[in-house]
Amino acid sequence: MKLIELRHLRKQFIAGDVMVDALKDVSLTVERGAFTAIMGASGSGKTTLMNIIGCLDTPTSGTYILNGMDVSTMDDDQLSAVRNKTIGFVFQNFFLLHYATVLENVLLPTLYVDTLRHDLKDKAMEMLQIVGLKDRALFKPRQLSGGQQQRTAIARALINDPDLIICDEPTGQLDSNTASEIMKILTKLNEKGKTIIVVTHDANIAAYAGSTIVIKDGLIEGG
Amino acid sequence: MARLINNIRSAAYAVASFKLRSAFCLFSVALGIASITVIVASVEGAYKKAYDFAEMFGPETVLVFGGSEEQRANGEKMKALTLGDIKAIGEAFPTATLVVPIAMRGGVAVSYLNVKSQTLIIGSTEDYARSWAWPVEQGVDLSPEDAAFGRGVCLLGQQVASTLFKDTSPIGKTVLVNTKIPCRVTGVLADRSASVAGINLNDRIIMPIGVMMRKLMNDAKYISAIKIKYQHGRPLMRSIAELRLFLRDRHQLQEGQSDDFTIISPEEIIKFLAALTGSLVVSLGVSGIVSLIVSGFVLANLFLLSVKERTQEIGIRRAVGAKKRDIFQQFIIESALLTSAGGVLGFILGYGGSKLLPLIADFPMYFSWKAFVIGLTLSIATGLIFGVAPARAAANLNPIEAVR
Ligand SMILES: Nc1ncnc2c1ncn2[C@@H]1O[C@H](COP(=O)(O)OP(=O)(O)O)[C@@H](O)[C@H]1O
Ligand SMILES: [Mg+2]
Repeated sequence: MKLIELRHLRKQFIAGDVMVDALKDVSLTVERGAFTAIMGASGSGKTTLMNIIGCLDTPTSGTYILNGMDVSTMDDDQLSAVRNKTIGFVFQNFFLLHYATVLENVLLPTLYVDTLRHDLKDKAMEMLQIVGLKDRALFKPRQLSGGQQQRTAIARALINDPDLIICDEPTGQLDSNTASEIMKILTKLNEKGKTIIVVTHDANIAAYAGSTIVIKDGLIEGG
Repeated sequence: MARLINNIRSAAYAVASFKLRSAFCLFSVALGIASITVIVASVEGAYKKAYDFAEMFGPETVLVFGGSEEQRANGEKMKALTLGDIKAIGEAFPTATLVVPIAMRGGVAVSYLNVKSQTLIIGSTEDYARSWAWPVEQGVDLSPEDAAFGRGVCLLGQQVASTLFKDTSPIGKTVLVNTKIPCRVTGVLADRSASVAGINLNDRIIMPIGVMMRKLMNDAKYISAIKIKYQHGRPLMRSIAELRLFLRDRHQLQEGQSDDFTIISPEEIIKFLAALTGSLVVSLGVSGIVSLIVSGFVLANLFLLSVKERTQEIGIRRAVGAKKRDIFQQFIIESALLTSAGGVLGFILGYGGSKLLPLIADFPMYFSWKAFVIGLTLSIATGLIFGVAPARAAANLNPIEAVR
């Protein structure tokens, strides 16, 4: 079953007085439960593609079907709701709130759910258990190593139980040992049924994925 | 609802976390609110004092002074009102229930045994205390016979009583006025310590006007003032207008000639006292509003700066599902929280500061829930108004720019 279907996606940016075609004509599908790597050189359009798949940005033209819904026609509020429910983000620079604790960071996506729930703290502790950070719940991000910060971000990505987890260069800031720890966690999550997309330019990282898509100059190679 | 509560919690958390920014906003708002608190308290104080005084003056009473306002201002002798006027007014106006003569002489020596002092002597009738709604606290009021037969009796003001008699009761004792007029004390007037324009009302002796005119004023023809109390239910302004025409006629004033008397009513006293404080209130008010606006701009700029610094936070929140509305709410609530806390702090500062003001000048202040509510409302309004631009800037940040 398809989770993601992109048809003839185009994305243009206006940089000063020139138009940049970040994505030229991208069509691809991602099956539910897949573990996909996206590889490509710097500037090839990986982040742009991930932002659109993550509903942080909208394509200039083309269609994007996520979970059976046409998200390319949704407005900002609807996209926010989709991100909240369906997508978990893991960024290269972790992007944690420095003034909040690990636990509070993990709980962040729950603030934007319309219904009130009372077992959220237990749920967050459960997520921290999955990434092996239960004993750091009350630490501030600055007190953690890079790997621990990224594991916090993964716990945050999991809290609302999304179908899709997208990771833009999740190991870019980490040494290779820590990187493989993170990839093992992602592999475990994939085994439990999460659809995972990882952007990387490191073949060792892409090797964890079941399939690899290569992107070059805004086009998918061989696609 | 759950979201709004969460946004309020996020806002409170951020306010507590960005301590330096919060402290700046807090104090700049607090200063503005402090001055506004003082202003509101002064306005209320002035009005309370004016009304207290009008109450003391007696509602539905007027005081007629001899001499026009200009003459009185120039310190000229006010030879206008006579005991004849008293009688005539009493006969002409049935609605004037009390028509009380007042003769005054200040700085008169008084003594009891070997204790000496100086005070204001007032010559009047048994109606004096009643016409001023001024109860006799110890002993009894002057009687109609005391006044009619010109007996050597008197009422003491609180201060005279305590100066001459310390803790002992003055009732029935005889004081010497002007070293030669013996007066037996029949009563002591209640405390009227709220001084108006520096006049101490407790420092006086009241005696029958007959005795005073004969023995202290060399049988002078003129008296200082007339206090008139009217029946309830008739517009005072009308009574005053009639009284004025009547007195002009009696004093044979031609058209174009100014009055040789001045009529004062409680309304006028309120107006006068309000005007006195008005100018001060305006200057304080302007500076308070200006400082509040300044603090609003300080706030707006600090918040815009803060939005820039927190671009990443905003991007993260947007990525995990915050709508523009959520971000707007969080930032505007942060702003309102800070300014309302500044409002409370400002009230405390204003309250504390105003405890010092009366040490410098005789300045009535009165704190009520009004000063608090007005201050708090203005501070929240400041937060909401000046918080809009930064909150909107935060809400409209492009999330992909924010998480680059
Ligand atoms: N917001 C933007 N404005 C202008 N140009 C952009 C913007 N985002 C990306 N680009 C351009 O689009 C191209 C693809 O960028 P990106 O998707 O970030 O590549 P990658 O992540 O593979 O390094 C680059 O040429 C980049 O300069
Ligand atoms: Mg990139």
